[in-house]
Amino acid sequence: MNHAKRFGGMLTLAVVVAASLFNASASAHVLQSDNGVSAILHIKPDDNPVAGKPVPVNFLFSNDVGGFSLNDYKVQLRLIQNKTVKFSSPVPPLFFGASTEGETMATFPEVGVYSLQAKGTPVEKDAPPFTLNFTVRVASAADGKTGSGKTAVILSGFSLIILGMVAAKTIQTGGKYRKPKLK
Amino acid sequence: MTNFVSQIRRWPQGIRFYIGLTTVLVTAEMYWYTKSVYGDSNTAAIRLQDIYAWLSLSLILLALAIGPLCSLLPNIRGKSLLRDARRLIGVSAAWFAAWHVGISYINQFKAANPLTLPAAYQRAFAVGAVAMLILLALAGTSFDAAFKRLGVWWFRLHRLIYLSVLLILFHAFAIGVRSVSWPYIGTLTLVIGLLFAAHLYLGFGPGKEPTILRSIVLCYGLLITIAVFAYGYSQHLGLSDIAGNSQGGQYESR
Ligand code: HEM
Repeated sequence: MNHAKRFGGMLTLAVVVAASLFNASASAHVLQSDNGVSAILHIKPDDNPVAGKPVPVNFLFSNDVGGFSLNDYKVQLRLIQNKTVKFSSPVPPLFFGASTEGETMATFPEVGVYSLQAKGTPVEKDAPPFTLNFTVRVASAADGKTGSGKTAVILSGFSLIILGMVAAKTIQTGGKYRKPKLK
Repeated sequence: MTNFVSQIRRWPQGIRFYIGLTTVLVTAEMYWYTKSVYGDSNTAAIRLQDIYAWLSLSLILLALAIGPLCSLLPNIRGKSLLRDARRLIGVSAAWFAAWHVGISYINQFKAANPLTLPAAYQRAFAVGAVAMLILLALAGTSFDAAFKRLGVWWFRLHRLIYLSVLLILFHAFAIGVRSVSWPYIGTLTLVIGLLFAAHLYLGFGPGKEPTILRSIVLCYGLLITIAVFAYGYSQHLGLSDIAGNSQGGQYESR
C-alpha cells in the first residue's frame, strides 16, 4: 500500500506544479468574477482570435446567489488596447429569452494584447453591477499561432525515437518476455 | 535493501520503465510545444489541457484494447509484453488526466466554487471528478503489491474503468469543443464500436457459452454507451451548450 500512498502524493504534487506553471493572465475559455457575478468567456470557434476577422464572443453568466438573468442588465463589450477602446458593442442574449448566455460579434482590429471587458449595468435595481476583464492575446497569422513549434516537434520526436530504440535493445537483451524454450 | 537495489536494476529490462519515462517526457514536451506555439497566453494552457485530456482518453482505450486483442489473436507476437504494459498505460492515463484537471480547473476556472458555476459546467465537472477519482484509485492499485493484496477485489475494482470511460465521454460531450466535432466523435464511435464488437464476439461468438451476468452487463453496457453517444451526436448536430452551435431550445432547462 506504500506504493499507492507514494503515487498519490506524486500525483497531488504534479497537479500543484502544473497549476503553478500556468499563472499567466486570464484569456479565452476562462472564468472571471466580479461582485458576485461570473462569466465564462468563449471566443468561437477555438478561443484563438485573429486580427481583423470578426469572431463571435460568447459569455455564459452565473451568479453566487443563483437565478442570474441577462434581462436585468445592459451588458457592454469593450476591447481595450493601451487604454484606448478599440471596439465596443452591446451583448444581447444569445436568442430570445436566453437568461444566462450572451453573444456578440467582435473584431480585434490588430495584433496584440487586449483587455476584453464585459460591463454589466443593472436595469433592475436589485442586480449588482459588474465589470469583468479578460486578457486576450491576438495573433497575426490566419491560424492564430504565435510561433511554429518546429524545434519542439523535431527534438521531441528525436528524443522519443531514441528512447524507443534504447527500450527495444535493452528489453531484447534482458530477455524478460522471451518464451521459455521447450526441451 | 540489496533486494530493492537489484529490483531497480532490473527495471530497464521491462516495458513499464519505458512507458513511465515516455509519459514524463511527453508531459514536458507537450508543455514546451504549446508554449512555443502559443507563447505565454492562456491559449497555451487551454491547448495543453486539451492535449492531456485526449492523451489520457486514448491511453485508456489502448489499455482496454489489449485484453480483447490478446484473446482474439492468441499467437500474436509480444503478448506478454503487451499484458505487462497494460497496467502502466492505465497509470499514464491517470497521470495525464490529473494534469488536465489541474490545469483546466485551477488555471482556466481559477479554482472557483463549483456551486457558482453555470449548471452545464457543474454537471460536467461533477461527472469528470468521479471519473478522475476512479482513475486515481485504479492507478494507486496498479502495482504488484496491491494486486497481490486485493486478490479477487482487484479485478472487481478495475472493472470500474468501464464506468470511468462512460463518465469521461459524457463529460467531454457536455463541455468539450473538439469532442463534438466530426473527426473526434467519429473516431471515438469507431474505436468504442470495435471494442464492443470484440467483447460481443468473445462473449457470444462460436463455441462460447456466455454467463447470464456477462450477457446482462454487455447488453446494458451497450445500451448506456449508445445513449451517451446519442447525447454526443445531439450536441454535434446543433444542440451544444458550449461548442456554440446551439439552436436554443435546451437553454430553457439550464
Ligand atoms: C473535475 C474534473 C475535471 C475538470 C474540472 C475538467 C475540465 C474540463 C474542461 C474545462 C473542459 C473543456 C475544455 C475546453 O474545451 O477548453 C474539459 C473537456 C474534456 N475533458 Fe475534462 N475535466 C475533468 C475531468 C476529466 C477527466 C478525468 C478526463 C479523462 C480523460 C477528462 C477528459 C476530457 C476530454 C476528453 C475533454 C474534451 C476536450 C475537447 O473537446 O477538446 N476530463 N474538461
